[in-house]
Amino acid sequence: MQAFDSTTRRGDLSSARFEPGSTEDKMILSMGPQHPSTHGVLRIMLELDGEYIVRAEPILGYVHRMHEWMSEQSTYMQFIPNMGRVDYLHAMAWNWAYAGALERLAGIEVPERAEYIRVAVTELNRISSHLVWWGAYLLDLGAFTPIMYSFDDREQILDILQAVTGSRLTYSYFTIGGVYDDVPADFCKRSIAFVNRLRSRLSMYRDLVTGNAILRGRCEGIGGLSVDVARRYGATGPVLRASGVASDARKSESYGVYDRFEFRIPTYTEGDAMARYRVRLDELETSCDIIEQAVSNLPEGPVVAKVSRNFKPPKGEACLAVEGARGKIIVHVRSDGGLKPYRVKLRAPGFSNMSLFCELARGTMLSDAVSILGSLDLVIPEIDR
Amino acid sequence: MIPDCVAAMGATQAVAMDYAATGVVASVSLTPETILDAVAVLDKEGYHLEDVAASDLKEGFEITYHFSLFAGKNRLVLRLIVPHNMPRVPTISGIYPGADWHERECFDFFGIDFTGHPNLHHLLLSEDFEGHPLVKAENTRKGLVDVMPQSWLVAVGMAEPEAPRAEKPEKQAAVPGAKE
Repeated sequence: MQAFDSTTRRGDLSSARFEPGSTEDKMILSMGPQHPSTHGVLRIMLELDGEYIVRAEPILGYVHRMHEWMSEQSTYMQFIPNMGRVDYLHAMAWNWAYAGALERLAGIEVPERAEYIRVAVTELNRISSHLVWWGAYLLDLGAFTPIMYSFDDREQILDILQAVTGSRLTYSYFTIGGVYDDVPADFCKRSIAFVNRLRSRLSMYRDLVTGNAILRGRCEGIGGLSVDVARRYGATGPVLRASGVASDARKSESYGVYDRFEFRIPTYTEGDAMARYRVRLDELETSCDIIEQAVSNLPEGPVVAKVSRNFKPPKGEACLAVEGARGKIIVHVRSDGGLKPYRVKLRAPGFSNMSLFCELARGTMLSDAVSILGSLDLVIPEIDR
Repeated sequence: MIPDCVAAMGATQAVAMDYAATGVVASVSLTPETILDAVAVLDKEGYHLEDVAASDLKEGFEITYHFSLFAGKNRLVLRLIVPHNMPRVPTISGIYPGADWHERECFDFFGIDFTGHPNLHHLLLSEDFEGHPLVKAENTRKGLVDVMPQSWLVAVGMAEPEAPRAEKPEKQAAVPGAKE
């Protein structure tokens, strides 16, 4: 690797390494890390030919916190709060992936009531995540109002989950063997009320936004993704389902009690930004269906299995794949039988989806790149970990 | 259950794993020489790449590749070990371009050299960061026998099978028969 020589090089090493290409009217543009459409701190080096993108290279690591290193310094229980901070929009799914991997490793049975609570809170969290994406994506494309509506809905979820977990965003609600505490008495009532409210709002969203000619112009036929490219890059979640593959860890690798729920996996075959948009909107309804079933069948009983505070799983390794709002989350845990994990590997769906961007952006216009970026639904702290 | 395609991979060991206990159906041990062929086999079978990870062990750096199909429970783990003093393995980013970033991450955290990689630079750590944070101190490294599931160790011949517990009832049942 070349050392950075500030006297002869312009910019930092990332821009210095991004060598000029061969086109005549080339321009090198550093987009971000403070660009509003990157939602967090992502930086993309772009080589432009006029307004067209010749080459794109994302520069990661601006919010890298080294969660995997932290896992080796803390006990199994102490690491749970980190899981709420990997993907701040769908913290429950990360909670589940970590707790579930350890339960697999140690062979712990989770009580029924906890399983249903896990499903309900994870789906509520998924809705709040998709609502943030919906508002922010449209904001990127120039529609200001929708985010006001979506944040209004999301606020209701944050209130419900705050009553359950005590936090509004970075939940560490799951514990090894269940959930930390039972849900409040009015949890089911409030969840049902929210589901009904969202359903009535969704039809309004479709009428007002989805059919809008400007939106369609910005999304349709933009960032087309074929199944084969998605497979080679390891794309998962709504990005993959918008290319026609009905792959969802909740069904294909059914974990917890998801096999007892009836829900469909929305897929579209176009593979463009509009298809990804439609998949996520349909998933809001899917999640509503699941929440309804979860809270109406919520069994009585304990919410956590007996697990020692000095939890020591047997030596070995295990992983659990969880369907997060952005795709397949996998936590791999390796134990040497001690108090601390020997190695924890976090597989973030956004990481693989983001690596697709160079492929999708090539040859498109700069303004379309913003649309593609938004349609991938990236959460940078999850990518950087 | 080991999928049929594993036979064509040239694996040194292929062990069926219990999905309910580990989340994978089979563990396939390879060498840096055979990894590219093995990955090409998976590509033909339609597997997608989940991640490339590494772990620091006494024996060297263990690199694990996780692959899965879109439907069903069929996660495969390919694993190989490279020595600490020359951690070198060919890149699979030519077959699975998604491996590009995963391999850069392993380079960042462990200093593993993926030969033939188009852009092996820091990905998550800053450009002026020196060292590799997930490399363990010599005295804290554990060996494969300390971190692998017992069933895997038995299958590859690194541990004696725990015979007594499983076979005791059978022996007791056989005793009355012998007396007769």
